[in-house]
Amino acid sequence: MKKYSLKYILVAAAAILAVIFPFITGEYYRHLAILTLMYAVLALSWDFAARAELVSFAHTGFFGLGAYTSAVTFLKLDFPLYLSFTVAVLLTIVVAIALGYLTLRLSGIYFAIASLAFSEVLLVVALQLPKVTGGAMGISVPSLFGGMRVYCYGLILGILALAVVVSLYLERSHFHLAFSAMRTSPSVASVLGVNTVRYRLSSFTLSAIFSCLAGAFYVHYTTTTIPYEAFNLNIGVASMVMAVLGGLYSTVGPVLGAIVLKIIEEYMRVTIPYGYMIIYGLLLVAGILFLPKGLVGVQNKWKFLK
Amino acid sequence: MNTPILEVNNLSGGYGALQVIWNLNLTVRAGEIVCLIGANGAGKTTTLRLLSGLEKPMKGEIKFQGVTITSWLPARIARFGMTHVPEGRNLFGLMTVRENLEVGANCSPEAWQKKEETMDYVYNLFPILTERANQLAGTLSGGEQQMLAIARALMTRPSLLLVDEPSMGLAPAVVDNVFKALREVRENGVAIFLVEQDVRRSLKLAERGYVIENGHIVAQGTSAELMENEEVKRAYLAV
Repeated sequence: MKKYSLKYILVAAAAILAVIFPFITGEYYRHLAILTLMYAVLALSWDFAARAELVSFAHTGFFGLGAYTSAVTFLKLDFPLYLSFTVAVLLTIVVAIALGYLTLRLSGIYFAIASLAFSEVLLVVALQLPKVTGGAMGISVPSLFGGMRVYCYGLILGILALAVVVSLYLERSHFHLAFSAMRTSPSVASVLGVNTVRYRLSSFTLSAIFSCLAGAFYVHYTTTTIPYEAFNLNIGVASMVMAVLGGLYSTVGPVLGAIVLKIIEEYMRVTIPYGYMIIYGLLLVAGILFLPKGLVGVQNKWKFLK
Repeated sequence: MNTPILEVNNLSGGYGALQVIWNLNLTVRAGEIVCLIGANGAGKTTTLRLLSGLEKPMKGEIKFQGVTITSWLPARIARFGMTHVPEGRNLFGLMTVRENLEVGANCSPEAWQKKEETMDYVYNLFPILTERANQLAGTLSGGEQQMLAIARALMTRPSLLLVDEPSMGLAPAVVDNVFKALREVRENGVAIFLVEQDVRRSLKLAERGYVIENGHIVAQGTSAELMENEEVKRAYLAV
């Protein structure tokens, strides 16, 4: 009992801090926190796919798809914000199911390549449809909530909270059993009645939805984007790195990974003017070497956190 | 008792272009144990993989509970009542014994509903698993792993269990336990299609048997008949 109470106190403290954070800090930290929360959503969404043994590069594609669908429907069709988000999510669901149906029978590296191609194809589409997307010049939308960062923070925190709820559901329901079984052996899981394709499709679609929401939020928050930015492969890679370094297949891991890495990255960007990415890279390598189970794996060493 | 639960007609299959199984015909009736015996590489495991849907047959037909299931996916076949206990146990090593059992129960809503009941039944069948319930499956001994593999398959509430080499790598006393449990499973109305290299033991357990050689069925009959068959005696019973 005592063992668990500390964990709950930590979670409660983190939740309270997350809620009051924008009220006790200035604009710069609010902005940093907003981007961090957005990456936490992305890292968690990447982990959803990873739980079904999918190494996906499609998250960049869904991020960009969310950004552009929401921006275009908002601008050209005059949709209110919530409706433009909804349309983006619906389109993402359709695309994710179609893409999943075509590629989820592929395994491992083949799926990864197909998902990479998907993101690159969407980039080309965004570039080649200047009438709709503004082409290489990009697209601009009015600033979200009139630039009130506190509201923006609230929105992205809400999206993250939703992702956390979904993640906890996946961890505690029959999905957890099926995912763990599939990761050990897809064929044994299947002869025990686990429909591997269906489980992969659902985790992939859920995962796509949250990447899309992060993208839709991103474009309204930054007010402008270009295809090379919205469909930048770094987005997907960063989500993967955060999830892996934080600790795969968990709720805390990817969120923690996003927070820690974003803080380190920003701190080094400010303090080391040149070549901070080299040190950042070395830190990542060290992280993978010494924390093979990610930051959440550390709790096994510090038993009191368990 | 006499209705066939599994009927296999002219089944051929293999891996890619390599044909391993040639025109297989066999029947398993409800509630009986039938064994498939043969040497290493004769096609025993491939036969099971074809039945459970892990390999697609080249031709032929598999009928289970009166329904043609020839091109079904493995998960659908499992939900329909035919569950495969794979060779070499293949447990989910990083999950606990209880979680392994729950994966089996997750097979269908009906199996999940009766999870606790089925779990009592398999714990009763293999009491050692009760003690190990919260232990990681990878830490079990070979015999316990085999028991868990069978128990996990039973959690899906099958009407036919496909068991691949349950004696593999186990001490004779442990094999006795496993075979005793299989007999008990049959007494509870679950048919068993058993693939084994331990011919003497299998024929003692099963009502009927098939002998497979190079992918062809070369002999079949009741266990008593096969025990007396000169070829079987010479090749497998070493008398």
